[in-house]
Amino acid sequence: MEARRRVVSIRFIVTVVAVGLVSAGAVGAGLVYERNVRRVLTPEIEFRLLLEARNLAVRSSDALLDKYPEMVLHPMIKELQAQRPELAYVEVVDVEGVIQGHSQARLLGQKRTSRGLAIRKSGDGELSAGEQRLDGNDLTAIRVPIRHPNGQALGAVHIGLHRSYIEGRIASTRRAQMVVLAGILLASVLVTSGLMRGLLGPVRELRRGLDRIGTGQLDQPVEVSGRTELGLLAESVNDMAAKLKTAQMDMVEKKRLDYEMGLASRIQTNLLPSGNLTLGAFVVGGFYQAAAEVGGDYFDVFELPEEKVSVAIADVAGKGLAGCMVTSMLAALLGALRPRYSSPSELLMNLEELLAKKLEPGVFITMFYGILDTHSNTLTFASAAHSPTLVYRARTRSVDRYGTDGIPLCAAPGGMLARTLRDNQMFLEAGDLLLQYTDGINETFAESSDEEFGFDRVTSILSRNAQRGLGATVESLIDAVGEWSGSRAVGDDRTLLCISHERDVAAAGEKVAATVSALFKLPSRETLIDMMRPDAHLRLPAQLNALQALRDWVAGCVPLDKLGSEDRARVELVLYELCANLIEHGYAAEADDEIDIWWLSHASENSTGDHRARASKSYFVIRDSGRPFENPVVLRSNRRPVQHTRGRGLGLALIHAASEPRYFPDTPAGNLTVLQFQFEPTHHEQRVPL
Amino acid sequence: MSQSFEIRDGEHCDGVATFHLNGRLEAQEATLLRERCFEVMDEGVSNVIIVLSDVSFVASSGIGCLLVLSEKTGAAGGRLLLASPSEAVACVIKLLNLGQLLEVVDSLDEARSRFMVGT
Repeated sequence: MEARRRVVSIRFIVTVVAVGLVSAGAVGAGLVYERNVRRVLTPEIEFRLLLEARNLAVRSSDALLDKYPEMVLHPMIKELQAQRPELAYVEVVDVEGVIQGHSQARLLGQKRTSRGLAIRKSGDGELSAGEQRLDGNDLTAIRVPIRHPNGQALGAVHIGLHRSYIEGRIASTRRAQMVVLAGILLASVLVTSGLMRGLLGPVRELRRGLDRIGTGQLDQPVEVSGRTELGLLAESVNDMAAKLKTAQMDMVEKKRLDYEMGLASRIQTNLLPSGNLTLGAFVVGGFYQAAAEVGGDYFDVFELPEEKVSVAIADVAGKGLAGCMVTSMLAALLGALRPRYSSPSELLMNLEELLAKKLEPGVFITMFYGILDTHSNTLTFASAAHSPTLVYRARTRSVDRYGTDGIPLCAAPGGMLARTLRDNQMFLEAGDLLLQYTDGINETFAESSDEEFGFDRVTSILSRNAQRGLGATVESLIDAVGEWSGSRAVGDDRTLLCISHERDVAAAGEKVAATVSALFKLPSRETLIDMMRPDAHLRLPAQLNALQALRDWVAGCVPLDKLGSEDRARVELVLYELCANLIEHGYAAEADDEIDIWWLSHASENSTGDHRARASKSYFVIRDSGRPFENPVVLRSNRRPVQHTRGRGLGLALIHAASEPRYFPDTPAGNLTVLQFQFEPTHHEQRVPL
Repeated sequence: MSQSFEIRDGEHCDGVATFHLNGRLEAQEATLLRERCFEVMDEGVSNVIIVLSDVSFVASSGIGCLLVLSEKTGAAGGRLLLASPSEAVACVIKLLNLGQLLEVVDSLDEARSRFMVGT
């Protein structure tokens, strides 16, 4: 759990600051006031003292002329001192300095002793001739001469005043001031604290409200009224909560929709064929890229009995979920109709009949459907207003274009389709490649203009790449379209359907099978059947960067799936090294040629008779049409220890370490290399990892 | 060249350079790797660890490169350690009996610890 954070209360801070400021102000004002009081009060008191002394001097002058001056002066001074306790002493002396008047009777008649006070030097305009001010540590005193009205000096009056009296007077002023200060302080604390409580009360309410929002309770508003900024803040918070609630609901809805779309997208992907279908010398496959999550394009490749393949490509007018739902319907109906029709046009008409009842008015479908007979190399097809079919002809090295008069499915009622649609037939010879596509390909806009990709570019790419086979053609076309549209969003689904009559796989395969069975004394028929299995063959362009395809083939090759991963790695490695050698030494860099690889599993099993611990032997036959090695020694084992090779010749060492290679240059089937592998039946379960 | 191939530099400290390889180690990638290693060795690093756990395929040229690097680090008074080889790499090393020429350890930590104690 999160530890509770220490909170410093704003109320506390403001109160302390207010009190501090008030105190500082009051103390400052007090100091100034006290200074002024001292400045005014001290001369005032001293002046009073002077008046008192003068008064006493006047009153004493007659007494001093008496015979017994102390009789008058003693009671007078005693009374004076009783009334004014702040006076330290009051003395009246005669001209000889003898004390004639004092509050204490025992001092009368004695010589006055000096108290050691200093005469104040600073000028004092108030003093008359003969008058003196004197200062001591704790006394301030005054001396006033007593004169007879005729000017004769009779004596002097000395009055001393306790300095503490002045301080006492100032202190009493200060005390009053302290009381006022304390009152102001108390009032400021109370007022500030009360004010802050009133102002900050809503903050607590705001905090509670924000806590509620934090935990997702967006319905309960923050109730802060008032016209301070906090009231406005509360309004903003409530406003925010309302917007959050809307956004949250939108998000939930969007997530739900995303989920649904994802689901739809998966369903649609599942409707499409995965991977290419190889049947005999034909490879059939396609490509699909949706514009939105799901789209209205569809293609299908399906193996029919009697070495036939049905192919279809369709574009529903309408994208997104609606289009996707129609394609789903189309897929289901096609699945049901495929086996029942040998005529593509009849199938399309039937499909329209079934769909027309279900579709919204205005929704129509363009569609191409064909049945490929791999035995007779013919394609029977019909096109309901779909894009022109392009066929690369190996013989003429040109592209033929097949248009159509058919109208789209569900575009017009009343048997209009039947009147425009008909079956066509074409031959696909070795090396020919048929391409069908939806308008998302040819109508793709350029990145920064409204120029379409166009049929001519499609045709030209087909013409340039068809010789490289189906995969390369599809890839080049998709790359080119992607490059054309650049960063522009994919506006329409992009879908391709491709049928390739691989140049001479069948023919080459037959020749190779005959040669291998003769060389290794294998039963020729079984060898041929083995090699003709679609999975057991791989054709690669004779280029080093094409060798990555070996991995997928070895991994996906059905006959190899019983091997452990280590054996598969071994097979891939040896095939890689061998092909790399053939490409580097046998082909010129710019050569546009191919290497064929076959896997012969059944033949190998015949070659061993020991049933108890049967280690199965397998063959890979590699055919290349490059320059044969002049010296077949090249494929002979390199006996030098590996550490002396300095990295060269390692490929050959690898081939020999993992297999038994044999090289047959210039056979009727081309240059053949046969790799013989020995696999332990269940070794991948027993073997301890390296 | 395979686009997926990647050489990631690990820490270069205590005179040990570490490289994490990812993808297919073929001729062109081997050249890249050799250049990168030579670069760090020119800076005075003689001990090199190459992590091979994410190498999906290694061709003879890749192995040749590892042998050259092993020799070169040895000549510079250091060592080359191959850490956690993937099955593909292990398979080749085993096929060519290179276990005695190339020093292979199970993990990067082990490789580091070997350099730490200097055994």
